[in-house]
Amino acid sequence: MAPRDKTDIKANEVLQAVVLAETFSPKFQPLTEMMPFALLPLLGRPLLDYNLDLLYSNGFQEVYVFCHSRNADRVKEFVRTSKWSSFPPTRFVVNVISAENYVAPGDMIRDLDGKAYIRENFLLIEAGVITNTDLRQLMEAHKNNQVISNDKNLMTITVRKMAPDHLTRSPDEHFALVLDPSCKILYAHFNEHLNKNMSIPLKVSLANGRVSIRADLAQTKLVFCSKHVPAIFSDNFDYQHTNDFVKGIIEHEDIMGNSIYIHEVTESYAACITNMTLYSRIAIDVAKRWTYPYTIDMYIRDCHPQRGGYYVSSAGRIHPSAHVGQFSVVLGQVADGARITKSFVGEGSSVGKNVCLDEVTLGKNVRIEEGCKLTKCFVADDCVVFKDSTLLAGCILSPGVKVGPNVDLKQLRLQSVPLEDGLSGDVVDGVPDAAKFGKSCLAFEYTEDEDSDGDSDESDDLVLIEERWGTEDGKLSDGFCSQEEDNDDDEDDNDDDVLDGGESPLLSLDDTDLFFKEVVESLQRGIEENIKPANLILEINSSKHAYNVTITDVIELTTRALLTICVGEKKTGAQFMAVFRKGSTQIYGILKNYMKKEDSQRVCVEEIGRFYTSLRANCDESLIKTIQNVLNFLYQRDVISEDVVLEWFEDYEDKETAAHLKQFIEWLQQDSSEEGDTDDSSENDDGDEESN
Amino acid sequence: MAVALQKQVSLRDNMLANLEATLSANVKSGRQNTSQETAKLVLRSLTAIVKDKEWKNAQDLLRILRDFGKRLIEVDPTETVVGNVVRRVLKIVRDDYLRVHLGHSADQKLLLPHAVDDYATAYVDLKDHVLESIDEFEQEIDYALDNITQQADRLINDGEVILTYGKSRTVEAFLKAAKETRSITVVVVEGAPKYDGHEMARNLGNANIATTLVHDSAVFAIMGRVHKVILGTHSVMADGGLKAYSGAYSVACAAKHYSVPLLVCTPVYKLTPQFVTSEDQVGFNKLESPQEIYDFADGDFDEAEILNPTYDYVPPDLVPLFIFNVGGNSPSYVYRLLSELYHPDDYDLKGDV
Repeated sequence: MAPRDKTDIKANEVLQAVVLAETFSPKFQPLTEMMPFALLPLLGRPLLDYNLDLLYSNGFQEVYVFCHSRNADRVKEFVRTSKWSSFPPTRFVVNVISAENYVAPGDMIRDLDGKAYIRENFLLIEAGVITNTDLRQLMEAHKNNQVISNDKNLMTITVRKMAPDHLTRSPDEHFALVLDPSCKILYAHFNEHLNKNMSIPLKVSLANGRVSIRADLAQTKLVFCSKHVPAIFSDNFDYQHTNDFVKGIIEHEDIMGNSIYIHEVTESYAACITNMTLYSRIAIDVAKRWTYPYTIDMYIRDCHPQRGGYYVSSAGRIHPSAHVGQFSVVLGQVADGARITKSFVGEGSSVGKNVCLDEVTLGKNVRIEEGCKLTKCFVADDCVVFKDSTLLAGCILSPGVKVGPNVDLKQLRLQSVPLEDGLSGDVVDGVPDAAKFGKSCLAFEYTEDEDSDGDSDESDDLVLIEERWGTEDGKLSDGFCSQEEDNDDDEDDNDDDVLDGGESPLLSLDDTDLFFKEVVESLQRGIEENIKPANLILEINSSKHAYNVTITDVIELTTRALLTICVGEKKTGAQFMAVFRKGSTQIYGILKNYMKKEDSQRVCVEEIGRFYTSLRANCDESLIKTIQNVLNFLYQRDVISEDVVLEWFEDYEDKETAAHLKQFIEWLQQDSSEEGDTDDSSENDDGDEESN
Repeated sequence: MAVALQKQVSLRDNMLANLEATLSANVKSGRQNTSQETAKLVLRSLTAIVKDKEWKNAQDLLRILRDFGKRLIEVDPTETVVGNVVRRVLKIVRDDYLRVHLGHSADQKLLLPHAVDDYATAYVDLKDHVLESIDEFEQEIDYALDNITQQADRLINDGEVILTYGKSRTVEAFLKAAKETRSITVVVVEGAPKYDGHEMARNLGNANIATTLVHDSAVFAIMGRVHKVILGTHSVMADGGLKAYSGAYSVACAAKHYSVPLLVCTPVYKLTPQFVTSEDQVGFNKLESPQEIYDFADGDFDEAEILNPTYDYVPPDLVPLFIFNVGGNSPSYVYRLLSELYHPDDYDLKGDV
């Protein structure tokens, strides 16, 4: 190989890259049960192949691929049989490194430190990264940042500017940065979940003069690191992810002096597959040739773009009466009358008569029989969908599944072998559910361990689907856009509340504040991941001890946190209720735990009243109306007693909010008069009222 | 024997893999080689095959080279230069075989393409002859630019306004050579979306040539004041048409409308035996990333397809004259050049021997 770049030789520098070839996320299950994530094909080409091609083309010489031991054999086999192992060692070497104890990217980097492979700056790349950017240029930028910062720059994070409503933005990633004029990160906000509030420490804005706050950037998961990074990961064993690393470094910048920069990619494509929504989006982007030259016709040599904007390989057969729309790729056969849009039909697959495919990926040797209709699905190798079946909105069929005929499936994840631990009720004996999946089926529903309780299935699935495939109207969640005003309001509210409600003089404002934040975070995650209320209570209690908060405050703040979560994400009453219903298990469980006595119930109800009062100023009526639903819910579930509510209502000063409660109160009053005054505990409450 | 053969095959594969990767890496990292560099890169590895590989006779060698060439072309079918160089080398092997085979007296028989049959006889001195001819070919590539620029003062008159499109190394050298003896004014069309016309204008301006830069849409308006249009091209098709960077067609049409003579400067190794049947024919055009015409960051309009084709086909009736390194020719003469440069059996490298 002729050396092309003389400066490289002179400096005798070897470009090293580390590929994190696992996704530590359940979002690709059950696909990742059956095959390594790195070998998941995107338009017929394994993700790892995209990475290696990128690294090779950019002159990288040493590549370390980290994967879990259970995938190691297949990844090694892939590398061994690919052309990437055929180069002289001085030009391109791929090493596959595996261990059993990887549970997060951080473990891989710690392992990297132990192995001492890294000699210089290196590139850290996730397997799902698809980009056509010039990595050498980025490496230069990284080195340049090191010069600017006197070698204190540990990392240069590559970001791509994308409009907030961009379709190639992860719906569950909220990412914002506070930067100084030289693009050094002053404060980073990563949020994998739905909290769109961001609070910036005061010192950031005070100490740094001109700062810019950027929410129009998307992470590309291309990170250039200095050679010290693995060691720092080893020192901080709690860093699970580069995000933790970034936060940690920035927090300790005063002490350690290290800093992190960003580099904005403007001229090229860069995105990372982190969920199924992005998977199908990026597949379309590749078909649209944004990633040129990493396009289909560069990998599958006989697959060429046609007039009409789709691709057909020489083995692909499309019946003249079939309609293949833009951005589709056909390597298999398409029978007459079929309509295909934005889909991929893999090698050896056949699409039957009058089949409709929309944003569907079909693996190799898949058979879709006549009359089927598939929308936003992933169908892996060797699956069969028998005739007249409908698969909608985010079905994932892992290899070898057979479904149909004549079934309607929606939002299901199916696999061809029964679940090992038999957690889900309908697959105990390993016989496929013919009633559900059709009489010729070979399919078992895949369920994650946690949500096998089956309490709030419906809403859970909905969230899953939204995370995987975007909401049903085809739009993804909108990141920071259009929520911004809303967020500001909320933050203001919270501040007000803290100021008004800072009742206990013993507590410093900060502690309650921090406690509140922590509770919000735990609850949010709890609702998101459907964690058992008991565990959440444990978390809240530990936070209580950490911040030394009184039990009254705990009740108050927990109540407020729950309501904030319900409100903070959405704006209207309907959406409030959706979240509320979804989190009902947790809300009920937690509040029930703290509200054993009537005085604590009183605290809770008062807090609800205060919350709605503060909310009323800046939201629409439908949201205020939900106060009735909230109280009713708590009453029905015996979290609060009617006397508490009634007494509180008498004292409630906010007449406008009270108007919305009228109906409920009247009904309560009726109820209690019918029952007669059997409940004497009301006397106890009078005294507590004063204390608040 | 079997072991030796296997070794030979794997050696070749290894070499091919390297070259293939170099070529595709160049494409991918955006380091666009000039056609001359590509030609020399391919020629060097073909020379290495002739030198280092074990082959018994010309037939053997032809098969090896063809195989090698076939795989190389698949790397990027739009890069016609690769195939052209392979074909030239095949022709060299064939000619030299004939020369050796018939003795040095039978030159006239070389004109008959089927004078000899199977290239099967083994000659000891064939290798040296072939290497010598390849060396000549390499020199031809090296001096192609000089040969073209030498014709400049014959073709350009004093005080002429010359229009060119985008950037071409050949045209740049040609204009600079013309400037030595003639006073000229050059109008450069910027050539969206690559805008390489900007660099061209800068280079020409630095060489003290009066230069005007205009945008693509102004081509028709400005054509009325232009005396000559000089274009470079990516390749010359077998019918004498051009595969040039997109935008060239509209320039050629405007030139035709105003009856402005159009010259195309190109070395003969850009001459390819392929025909164009349609513009979306496989291996004719390249669709690049839409990024150059629409910023990805602005969000995608989902249903619209954004096309960024690299090449235009300019039909031969719009091209009055080619300036080759072997002299000026009209498009109708291209077929003749083709049959001199390449052996008809090699036109289609994808077919079997």
